[in-house]
Amino acid sequence: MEVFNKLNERFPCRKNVLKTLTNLIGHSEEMLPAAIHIYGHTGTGKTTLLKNFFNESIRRNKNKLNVAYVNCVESYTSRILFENILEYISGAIADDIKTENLKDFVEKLRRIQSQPEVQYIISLDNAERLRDMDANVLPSLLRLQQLTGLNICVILISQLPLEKFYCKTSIDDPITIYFPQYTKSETLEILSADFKNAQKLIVALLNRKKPEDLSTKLEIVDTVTREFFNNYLNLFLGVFYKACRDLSELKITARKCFTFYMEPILDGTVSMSDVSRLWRCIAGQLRTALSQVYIRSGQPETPVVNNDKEILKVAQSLELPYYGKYLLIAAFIASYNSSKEDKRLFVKNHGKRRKRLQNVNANAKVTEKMNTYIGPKSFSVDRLLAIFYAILDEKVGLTCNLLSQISTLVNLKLLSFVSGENVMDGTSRLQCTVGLEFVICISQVVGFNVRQYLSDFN
Amino acid sequence: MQDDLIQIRRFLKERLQRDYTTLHGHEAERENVRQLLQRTAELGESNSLLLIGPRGSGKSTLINAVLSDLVPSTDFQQNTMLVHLNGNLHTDDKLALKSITVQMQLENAANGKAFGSFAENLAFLLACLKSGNKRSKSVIFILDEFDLFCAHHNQTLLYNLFDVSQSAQAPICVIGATCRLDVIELLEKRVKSRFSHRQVFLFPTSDNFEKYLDLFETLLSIPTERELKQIAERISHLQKLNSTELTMHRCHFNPAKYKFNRKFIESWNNGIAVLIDEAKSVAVSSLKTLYEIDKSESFLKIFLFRLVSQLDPDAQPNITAEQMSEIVATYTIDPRVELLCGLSVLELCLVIAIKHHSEIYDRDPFNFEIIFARFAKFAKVSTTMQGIERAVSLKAFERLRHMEVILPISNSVGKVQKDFEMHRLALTYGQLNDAVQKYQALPTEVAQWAQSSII
Repeated sequence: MEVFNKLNERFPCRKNVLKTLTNLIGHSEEMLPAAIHIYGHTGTGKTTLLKNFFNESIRRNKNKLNVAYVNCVESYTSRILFENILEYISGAIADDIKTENLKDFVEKLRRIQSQPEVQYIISLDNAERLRDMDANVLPSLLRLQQLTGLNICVILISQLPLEKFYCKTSIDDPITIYFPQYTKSETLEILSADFKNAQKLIVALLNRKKPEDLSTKLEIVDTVTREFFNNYLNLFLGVFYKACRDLSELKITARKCFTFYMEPILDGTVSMSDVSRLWRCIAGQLRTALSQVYIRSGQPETPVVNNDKEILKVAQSLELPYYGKYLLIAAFIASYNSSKEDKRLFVKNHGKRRKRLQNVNANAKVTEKMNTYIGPKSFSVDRLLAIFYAILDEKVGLTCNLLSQISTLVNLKLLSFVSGENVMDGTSRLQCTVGLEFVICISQVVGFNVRQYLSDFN
Repeated sequence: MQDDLIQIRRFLKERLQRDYTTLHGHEAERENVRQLLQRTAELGESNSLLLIGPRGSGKSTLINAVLSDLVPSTDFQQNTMLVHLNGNLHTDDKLALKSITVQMQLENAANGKAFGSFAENLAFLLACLKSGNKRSKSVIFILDEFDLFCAHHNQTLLYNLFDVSQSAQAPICVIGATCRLDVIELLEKRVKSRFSHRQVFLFPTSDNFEKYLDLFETLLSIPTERELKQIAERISHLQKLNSTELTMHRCHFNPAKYKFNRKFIESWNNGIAVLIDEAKSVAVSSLKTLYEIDKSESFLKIFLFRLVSQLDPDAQPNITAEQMSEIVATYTIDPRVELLCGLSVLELCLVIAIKHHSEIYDRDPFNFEIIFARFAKFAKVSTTMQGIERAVSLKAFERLRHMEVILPISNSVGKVQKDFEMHRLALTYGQLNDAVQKYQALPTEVAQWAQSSII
């Protein structure tokens, strides 16, 4: 009960799940359920809550509770998993925990001579990985209590609901606990608890920068009220909430953007009460931050913009040689056209194309079936060179300089090998990895119209 | 009063978890198995039998119950050996044979001997039992998860066990428990012909709802002191089972350590009876829902465990109907819809775009590029979803994949760029519609878009 009260203070909005957990595994000297399955979105506190819960419980009754906390991403084979669990539970030295298979593992657990009142909890984070292990691991873990005769409970923590765990002959149903996603008001409440940290962050920033009027600025920071912060959070969530509900991500971004929000106030250009002007100052920053949510660029002060326009800038600044550019364009055309079309597109006297109703129907383009949507197809080096010579007006010899540019493009990750990367010859297959906009940009530089040569667009 | 309640909670919890030998119903099947084992033990008859029933129907409990019936007789104790194998643990015949040797306590005899074949090894083990005694000891083989033994190489273990049981070399009885109804079809022809084709089917006992209610009451009420003593005595016999593989006798629920206040017990039992007294009460209707989901005893036990664990001297001194319906409600929600409601609006929009694509193209696979194009068309005309960058959408798409709302079609990782990797939807349209309706504060235009793909 004390554990419950303590954690309930520390983790707001998690009262119900905490209560359920306390009821199920919080009483010492009582039987544990055989298995519990905990699921919910990322950032809903599954791992943190459970870890804290165990820490508190262990502190209270030290010798009567043994907890193994294992992440299945780290323990990627069943053997590593078993050994990790045993290391936690039995506290034995490395020699004793060697396990070959599940049989060994269960055998070792059985051999633990325990008093009946001792509880064992095995909690497995990212439990969905258990499905990739041998087929007998998951069903056996769920009935470990029966197999070992210990007072043992296996807790599976995962983002997936239980139905994703069902295997061939079904499994013993564990008790499921759902960690609900925070609602908007709950998110606001939790973020607003971060007020002191955000304030500290700004003070630290100021101390690092050491502007001339440091003391006045620090005073301004001191006058920031929680209400002001909540107002800011409301603005912030208005922009971000639709794209991201991951609490930890929101927390980081909220802190970061608060420094931008405070900038005009610290400069003295905008007063703290002028909300609409503050909004005008921050709106741009928020929009930039939104485009890089989850990306977390290294320097928060000078954000690296990574949006679609940036791609064009990269394309323009890419200093490829003249033939290299043409090779890339040829590769793009080869990737997004079927070879059947080549004759029509590149040969001068290709004969008349008869218009049949069948052809017309077949060529009626649906956006979803367009090659540029389905993705690049592979092409042979021979075809690439053929198209290259077809679209280039001047005559160039097939020299090793030209061929080495193909490998340059591969090194730059503009092309990638599908097969035959060891010895490049005419039959090796390549793929173009850049998008349409990129190529259009490149082709503008050399004065070439790509669209004209794409079957998607004519 | 407080201690009494904690005592009750402890008692009920332990009984729900650790009572491996009490079987409710299935009298005929139990008698059948019991006689079979008794004949093996007393008369040295060989036999084989398959117990088939869905998960949680009480196959293991039945075997345990029969063992606890037989164990008090000295004849049984002296004449039989138990060998317990589990298909999940003994994944190949080598492991199984090793375990058999250990369980028959023949490690010393078998040590240092080289065997040409599996059959030779098994024959030696059985011969060991014969030597030194007039009559050979009979062995009872219990094979849990029997269907998994069928996957072993050549089914050598099964072949040999059934062969011995059929040809009267040594008295053994093979009992297999499985939840696969088609298990006979998994056996090879030569194995099948040696099996006695004795099958016992176990289906959930409570074929009517009244029995289910009775079971509910039995599982929650506290027995009187006399009954407690009886149970304690029955359980004390279990200690005579000496098997290392079987754990149920070592940790079996033992009521001997519980002492109850008689008055408190009476009021407690009364409370339980009153709860389900009236046919139309909330408690009965929640039990009815539960019964309709799954009528097995093990499922009910898990439910009761949750119920009992909520008991608390201060806040929850007895079991109430509200509490029951609350827990039952957690069984009836659709976890996928619940998870969908926790997505961000952007992620939900992508799912809606996927739904439209699947509807128009008859569940054709899709990639990010296709879906993003469809979403971008919507975002352009919407007021709320503007200014979402491609990179953020891609991340949202990846999250959907991680949550297995969408599944990749091929598992060729790395060959295809992730924007172009083909996926399919792992949801029904109904689940998505439910989620759209349940989603809190969803922008109206998104809800409208979910209804029709025309923008």
